[in-house]
Amino acid sequence: MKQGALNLLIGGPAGAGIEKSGKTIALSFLRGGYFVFGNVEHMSRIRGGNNFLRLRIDEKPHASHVEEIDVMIALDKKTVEEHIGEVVDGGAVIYDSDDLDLSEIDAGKAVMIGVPLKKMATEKLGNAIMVNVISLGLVCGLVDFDVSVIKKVLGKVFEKKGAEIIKLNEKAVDIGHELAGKWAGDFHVKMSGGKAVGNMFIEGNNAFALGALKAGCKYVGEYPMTPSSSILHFMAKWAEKYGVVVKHTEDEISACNSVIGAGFAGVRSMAATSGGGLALMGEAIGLAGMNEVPCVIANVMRPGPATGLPTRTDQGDLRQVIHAGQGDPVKIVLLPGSVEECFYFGYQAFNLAEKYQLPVIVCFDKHMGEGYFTVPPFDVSTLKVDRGKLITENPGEDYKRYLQTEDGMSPRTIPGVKGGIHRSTSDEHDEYGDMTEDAENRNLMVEKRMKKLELAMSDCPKPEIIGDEGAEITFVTWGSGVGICKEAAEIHGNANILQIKTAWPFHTKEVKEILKSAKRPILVEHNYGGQMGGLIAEHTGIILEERILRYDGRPMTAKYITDKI
Amino acid sequence: MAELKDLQTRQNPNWCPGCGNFGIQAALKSAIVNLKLEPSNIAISTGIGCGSKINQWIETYGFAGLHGRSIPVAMGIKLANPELTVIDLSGDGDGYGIGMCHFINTMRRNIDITYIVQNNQIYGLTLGQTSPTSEKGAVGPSTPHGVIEEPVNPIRLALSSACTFVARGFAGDIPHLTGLIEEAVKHRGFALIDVLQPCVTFNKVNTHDFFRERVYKLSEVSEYDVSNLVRAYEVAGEWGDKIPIGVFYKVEKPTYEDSDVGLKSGNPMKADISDVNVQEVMSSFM
Ligand SMILES: Cc1ncc(C[n+]2csc(CCOP(=O)(O)OP(=O)(O)O)c2C)c(N)n1
Ligand code: SF4
Ligand SMILES: [Mg+2]
Repeated sequence: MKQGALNLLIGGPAGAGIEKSGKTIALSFLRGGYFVFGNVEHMSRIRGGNNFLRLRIDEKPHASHVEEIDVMIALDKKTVEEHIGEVVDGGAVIYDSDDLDLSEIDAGKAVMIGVPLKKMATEKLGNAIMVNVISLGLVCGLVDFDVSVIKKVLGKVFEKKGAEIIKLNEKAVDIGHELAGKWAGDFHVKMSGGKAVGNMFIEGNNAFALGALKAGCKYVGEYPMTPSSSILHFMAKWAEKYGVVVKHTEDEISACNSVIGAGFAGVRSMAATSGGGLALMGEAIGLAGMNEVPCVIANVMRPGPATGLPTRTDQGDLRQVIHAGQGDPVKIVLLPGSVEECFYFGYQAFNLAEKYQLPVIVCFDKHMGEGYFTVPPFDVSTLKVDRGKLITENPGEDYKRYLQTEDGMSPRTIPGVKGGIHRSTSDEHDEYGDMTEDAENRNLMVEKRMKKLELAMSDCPKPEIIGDEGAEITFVTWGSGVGICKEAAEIHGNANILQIKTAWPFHTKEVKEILKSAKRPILVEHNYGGQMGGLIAEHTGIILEERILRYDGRPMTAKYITDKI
Repeated sequence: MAELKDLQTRQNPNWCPGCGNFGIQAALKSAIVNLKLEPSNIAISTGIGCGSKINQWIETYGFAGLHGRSIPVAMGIKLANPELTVIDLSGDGDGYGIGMCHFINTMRRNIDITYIVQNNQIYGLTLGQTSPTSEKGAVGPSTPHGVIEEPVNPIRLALSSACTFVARGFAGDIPHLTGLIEEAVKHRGFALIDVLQPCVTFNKVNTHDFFRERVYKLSEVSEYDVSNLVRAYEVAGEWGDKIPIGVFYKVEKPTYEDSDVGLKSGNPMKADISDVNVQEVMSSFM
């Protein structure tokens, strides 16, 4: 008997509402005091195919799934065919016995719970749609989970639909719960209620967007691209309430240039995209660097090149984000390694952008962006807006927008400020912002822009060792690799993690120091080339020979890593 | 409020002597003065090309961005601070070539921007290649055998893209162009002024004389009605012995800013962002 840990998979064709019912299950267990990690794997199609959502419900938080299933809810045969091998002995497969003929499937020691779900829903509730809620009740019955918690969640989900719909849902839960009866007694997992309360169930994308909202972002220019689009949707949803202009533009070129226009006008602004869109933004990212315009761009990675695997995960854009745009890169690239960091780095990106007057790219992958994590509400009490050298009053005589200063940052006026008139020019320019090809000025201006990066180093999140300093193994990783490696380190028992949090500017000294004392460093990345390994080699001269790389578009698991050590 | 001398910048234009851009610069400065605009409340967005360099030579706020991308920048500025007067100037290569997608889509939005195209039917800055408005058969270094495709008709394009103010000016008629710019800036919504701008160095066909002999003013056509879209479309097809200038079409419609929910609570630039309360949003994830 396993207490308080349940791995669940719901699978079926696209359009069957898997994510929605999965979320209802997740929220139920969240309210019931558990940590839930959710991962959706979908195909790039709107109907058919096979999609699935995994929920890892536990008394402690996780950042990745396991390839083990305690309960499977199968809405099609394909789900069973593909995942039956993952079902543990005594695990359950719930399916509609009228719908699916699973007679040829070798179920091993799995318990096949075939019930005429649709028929029951239609006959008892007058609506076939209630199938998913009946299944939910069934799951809860199997694991002895408190039905009243589910009913409360459903009450909230259907709040706007009225009392009648809520009642219908409650009835469906009861039907499911009752159905479970004959299998429940022997079932190997029990979920009698956890202790975690007051948590959020949130994806990296939404956490990032929340950070942007908190930071006072008031302009969003974006063109939809999986897996970044939920950032656009989130901002559009809250636009009116928070006074944010959210523009779905004609393309990413327009998105990024309009974000720069807004930044120039003194408004915190951002774009979000994935690799292909970032490629289109490249020239504008260079522009923001040259004209010293603050702006923030989220790049949520998927496997490339070209269209690649649109709905899968990858970390192959590291080089692209650093080098997006012409010339030496005048930008900051942040790499959040958890959903909390998606929020805090997202927030911080706006401060860094304004303080150093440059574009900040926040880069994470689909696994992080669209994965669901359970975390306490973000602590916003210590967050402080820093607008750098923004000036909103007449700066006085002889104002120079690109004044050479000790720290490389110049006082920045915005349109509307009297006495602050200047041109922000993408050609090389003098201190006033006026075009000039003078060689000496060129050197000074290049150095001014690059000097800002040296200074920014102290404000950018530094590399960090997570775990025991003297561990046998050091996983060198970034982004979603961090959460997965944490679990791998736990399983291994004698491993720690070096998390790289900023890709540009690079914390050479710190990384070198940590790596020098690492006994057995292993690079863990989600790309073919080991791009972070390359970056580390370039800056520190240290070549990480041992590598665990994955590039099939599927997320790593802790076991994937420990199996390879 | 500004006088002409207040609009003089530290540098003087380096256009070729006789370039049509001088006329556009003069007209724009006069319009700013006549409209009694405060230069620090004006933001000029430009692309890259001979014409776009005008940004350097008018003392207002200016953003000189990328080739073809002046319109998205102008849009971002306007939506970030709708109180500004936003004027976009760029070449025919910028607006009708590389940036055509932005041009069409921003007209549809009816954002309150004045868009002045310095249309010399040539790529001036890159040494005289033909442009999207070059006439069929026009010869240049990239088209030594003559242009094969039909030219873009920016007026008709604007009329069919829901542009709410569609006009054409001539750089050689500064008073008339000044009037057009004033009207365009006052118009609430997206205003296009396609300006016939002779390039004395590379365009030996569409010269000052060429236009002087051909242009006529729509305002002097007695029965011309600027609210008649069909008539405007018809007149926009004229190119040859007679070339119409003036306002082709004008209509009042709500602007993008009027309808965007994000602007309901006021000017984003003036929002207090010191401590935005996101508790409600966090609760929605619980
Ligand atoms: C992305 C990009 N491609 C090409 C260029 C080179 N380029 C600069 S200006 C220009 C064409 C200019 O023509 P137009 O927009 O008509 O302006 P004009 O010089 O005629 O005023 C080109 C192709 C560039 N700056 N950027
Ligand atoms: S090349 Fe033509 S457009 Fe450019 S400055 Fe000379 S005359 Fe004017
Ligand atoms: Mg031109």
